[in-house]
Amino acid sequence: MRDVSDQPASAVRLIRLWLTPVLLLALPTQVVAFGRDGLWLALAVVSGPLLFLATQSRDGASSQRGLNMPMARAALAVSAFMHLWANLDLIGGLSRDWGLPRWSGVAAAALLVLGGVRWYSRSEGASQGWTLIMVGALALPLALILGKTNLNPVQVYSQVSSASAFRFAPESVWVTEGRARSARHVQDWIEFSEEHRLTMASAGVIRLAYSEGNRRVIEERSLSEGQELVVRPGDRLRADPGVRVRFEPGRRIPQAPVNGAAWTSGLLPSTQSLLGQLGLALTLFGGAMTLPSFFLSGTGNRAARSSMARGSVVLLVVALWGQCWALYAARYAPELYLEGVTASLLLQLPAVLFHQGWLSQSAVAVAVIGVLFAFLQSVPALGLTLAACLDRRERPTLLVALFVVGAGVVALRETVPWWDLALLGFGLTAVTLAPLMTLSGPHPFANRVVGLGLALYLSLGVVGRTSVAGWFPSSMMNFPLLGALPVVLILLLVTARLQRKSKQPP
Amino acid sequence: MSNEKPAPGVQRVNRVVLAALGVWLSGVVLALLPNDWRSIRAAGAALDWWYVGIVAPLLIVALILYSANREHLSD
Repeated sequence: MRDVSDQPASAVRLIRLWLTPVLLLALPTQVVAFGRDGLWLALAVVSGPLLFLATQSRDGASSQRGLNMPMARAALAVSAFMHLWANLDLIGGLSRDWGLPRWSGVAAAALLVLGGVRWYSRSEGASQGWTLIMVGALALPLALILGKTNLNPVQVYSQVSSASAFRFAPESVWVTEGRARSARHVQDWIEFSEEHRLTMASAGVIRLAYSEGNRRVIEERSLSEGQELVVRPGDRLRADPGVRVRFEPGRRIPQAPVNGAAWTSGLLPSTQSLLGQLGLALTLFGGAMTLPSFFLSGTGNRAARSSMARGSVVLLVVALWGQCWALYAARYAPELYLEGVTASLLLQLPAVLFHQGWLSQSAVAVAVIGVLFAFLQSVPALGLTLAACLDRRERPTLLVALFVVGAGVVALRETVPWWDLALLGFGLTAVTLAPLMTLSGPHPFANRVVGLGLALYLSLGVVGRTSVAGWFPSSMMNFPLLGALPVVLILLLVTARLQRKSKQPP
Repeated sequence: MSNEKPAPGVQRVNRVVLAALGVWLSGVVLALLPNDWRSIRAAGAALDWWYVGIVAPLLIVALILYSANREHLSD
């Protein structure tokens, strides 16, 4: 097998590694969930790898500094494993949401990675073709949506931003046939902001939580098909799995943003927004500048400007795709807010618009093919990065197989959401490798300081997932890099100065 | 790298990129204003969206490609 490091650095190759299904599907998911605040992700997705390439072209060695340190290599290996896990988790979740057992999706994805590792290093010549197919497969359903709605994204933006509320359309499946919430969100309460008259589309048990005087009452009711239930503002409802409920047309969709203007202005509170976006940017830029470094190490070649231009076009198209997909989803499928904004529901957008015709299923299938191509292009490279970190570049298949099986086993159960796993992975490499890149020469305490930063990063990440940290800024907990990276940088600076002073003659 | 002035075409691109960077930075400042200020810039919400979503990524790409271009010229 040809060693990946023998190949020249190329922007398209980096972008193949960068655009995993997790990052690709996080684009529309974050924009639908957070409105304008989710757009920063698109900006970071476009800029991160390009900045990496820009620094490569000036100083090929800068991004690879520190790769000989055991701590940095271990962090990189763990990060690659987490990205592997996140992607298998995503595919497992998609298969479960579409009615297949979760394990079947995870197993199929793991087999694809194993096959992909053997294929990957031989496919360099065809890589641009594969990238084009991926972009085409994602863009085609969007083009069909544009044709069907006869509205361009700017017009859709105006419609969404001027909407006084997100309401149930008369043709919505939630109104006509009724629906059950997805398995992922069936345990979450639905909170109502206005009065609703619900009709049971199937018999089942529901739990209604409401206030009576100063106390909160939770009432369990067994309702038969066709029975009605009136809920008031402030009430909360939870139905058993599979219980279908119908809503009235024209009523506000529970849990949707207050109105279109609120969505287009961003849904995060300003403090959280500012710190959160800074944390997201640090994590993604840090990840982009460090995760591919090992994969591209040893190339010794600068990325050509033409290659960077081609890569930029791919990144811009993908970022635009994510935004447009989110805009059309917010306009034509706002019921997402009730069901929970998930990647699988977002991918079903053509099915909502084409009302279950053959075109709808074909368009969804084409979008899924695009995601699969992204998977085949990126995830095997993660396995190869992992093997390279452990100095097994020569015969990586067995080692990669072990890690893939390991990632598959942990992905069988839904524990940490895939997006959180990916961010944790990006942060891990950022907190270890990024500070080392800033050093101009050898540093006596680099290994220890980076180890301390890694411990701080993981502690903040773990504490953030517990209720202990209620007093701490949530952005710091969601993006532990915000706390850990400055500490590492300051410690590196201070220890270097102290070392210099101690060496100076009195 | 020589001390000669860049070609007029390069100077023009330079000015355009600097101007674009200024516009983009003002957009970033606008986008980062706290929520309380948002009513003041309600009319600019669309501008804000397109800044972050379209204009900023395009400008960053242009800047990075331009810097690669400049390096190429100086080689």
